[in-house]
Amino acid sequence: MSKALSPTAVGARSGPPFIITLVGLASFLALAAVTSLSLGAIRVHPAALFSALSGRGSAATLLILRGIRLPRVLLGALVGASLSLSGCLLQAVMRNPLAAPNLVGVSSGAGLAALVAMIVFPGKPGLVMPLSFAGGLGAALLVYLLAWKRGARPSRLILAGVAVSSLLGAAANALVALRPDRLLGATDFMVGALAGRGWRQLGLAASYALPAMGASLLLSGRLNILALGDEAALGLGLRPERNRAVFLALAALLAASAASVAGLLGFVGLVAPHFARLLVGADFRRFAPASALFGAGLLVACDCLARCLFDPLELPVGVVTAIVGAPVFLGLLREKR
Amino acid sequence: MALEAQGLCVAYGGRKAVEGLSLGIRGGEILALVGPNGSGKTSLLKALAGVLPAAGGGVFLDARPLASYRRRELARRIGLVAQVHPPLEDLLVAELVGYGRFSREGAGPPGARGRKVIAAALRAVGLEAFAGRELARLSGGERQRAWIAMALAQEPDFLLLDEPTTHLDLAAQLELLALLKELRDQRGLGIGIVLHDLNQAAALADRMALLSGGHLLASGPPREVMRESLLSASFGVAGRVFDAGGKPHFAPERSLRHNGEAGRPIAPSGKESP
Repeated sequence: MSKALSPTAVGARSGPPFIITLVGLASFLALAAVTSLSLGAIRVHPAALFSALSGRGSAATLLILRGIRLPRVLLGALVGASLSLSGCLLQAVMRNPLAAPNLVGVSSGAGLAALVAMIVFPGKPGLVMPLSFAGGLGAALLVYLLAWKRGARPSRLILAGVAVSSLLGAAANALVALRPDRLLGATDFMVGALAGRGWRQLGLAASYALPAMGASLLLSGRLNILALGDEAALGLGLRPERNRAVFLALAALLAASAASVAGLLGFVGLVAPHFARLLVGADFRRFAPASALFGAGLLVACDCLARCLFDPLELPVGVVTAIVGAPVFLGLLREKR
Repeated sequence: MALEAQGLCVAYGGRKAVEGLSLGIRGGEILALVGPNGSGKTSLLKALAGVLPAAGGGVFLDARPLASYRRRELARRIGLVAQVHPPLEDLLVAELVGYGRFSREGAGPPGARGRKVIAAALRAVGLEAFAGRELARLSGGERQRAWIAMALAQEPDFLLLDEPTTHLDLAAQLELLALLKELRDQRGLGIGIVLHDLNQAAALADRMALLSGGHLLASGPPREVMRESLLSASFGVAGRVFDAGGKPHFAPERSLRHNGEAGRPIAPSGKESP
């Protein structure tokens, strides 16, 4: 009888065990969250956070923590995890390590729809979020339909994504040039920001993002098969076209829900998956959860910097993710063989 | 056990790559598909694997049409090793081989039996010591064996390989062919293999199938297929066939294509098509 490989030998990888890596990433997220909750105009010592949150402090502290900082930290974690997981899914679907949420048209679609909402319904800011969500999903669907020719092959998806993104981006720039009077608050959205977001935005984004996240993590093993190529996947018993459509829809849902609340945040969906892959390897069963955790921690940390670097002034977090993301990304590229 | 094409047609956007072809692979035998470029070898192999749909006729596994099998059910019976593989930079050998368990265990981590099968597959291809190594760090021959191990982890009855010796050095080619013989003899696998090297095919296969222009020109034991007239008509090359250690060997002498003597597709009857 042949001897079995031990569970760790099957997919054994040098470095710490996966569970230790996950705990490390969760600790990074927790540290970023505690720091972000503690720092600001009113500082709360980390040790006093729990009692302050449970109402055993001043009313002002409670209001700031529960009403502003906590939902913002949770939203940052949700948006970061969504963007990073979306990038991770797209890397497998497109078979391209540079695939990111803005490549499938989601960001440009969400951006254009948000600007249209601001111009057409100036008195109804509540419409920006649902319309940008619909715009993001609509653009992803358009990319998929344009790429379709007896199936949507990755190379065609990338070309269609670049074309649609450019076109919608140009339309958005035209709107900014033509109606600057109606788009005074648009910079935050176009760069990506978490300022002023609260429980309502968190609830709406979570209602789309959490089920999509759960489904993505549950199905992540299929990405391994999909990444082998269409013929190999078919030979192994997986229908590539059907699964590609499912994962594209999940990636678009995650990215659109993130864009609708935080605007067009760059780099998180590209940098976080790369870093996670370096830590846990190419197996999507490990890569996907690690991406989500690291993306969450990264965005919460960047938002903390955005709030505190020039206190009392605040930077849009998209500026910080780009400033932090670009050199980190270049460093990661140098790390690779 | 038999995997059979009956009157099979395969088409790409209206162009027929395989036309009215009937051919079978039985368990425990190696069938080598040979023929010039564009003769339909790869299309036939992919149709036999169920990866390309039949545009006419059909493929039958144990007398049941492939189309009636569920995709995973098929993957448990037929393993396919494609000609070109994606780079998959940081994937480990054991991870790749483990994906072969998808049709039997789903996409989760393999169970105790799965791990045994993976270990046996790695051992069969001589890569047990490479389980934890990144695919990108293997030589071409080792990488090809890793993909074969993935197909073996499917525990198939039939193994189909598309030009697995391409880009391998001579020693790696011989090792690979010896491995296939071993798999046939020890596991009773039915093996279909596309090969460009006629002499390699004749040395390896129990039966050969010679294709030209999407048609089957001849099939049978190597001695019946390795005939000067058939080979020159199909490949457009004049040469001699002689006996080398009990196996037919073809020594090409000159191309006939430049003066139009041969190289045009010929019909199954052996006559040139108009």
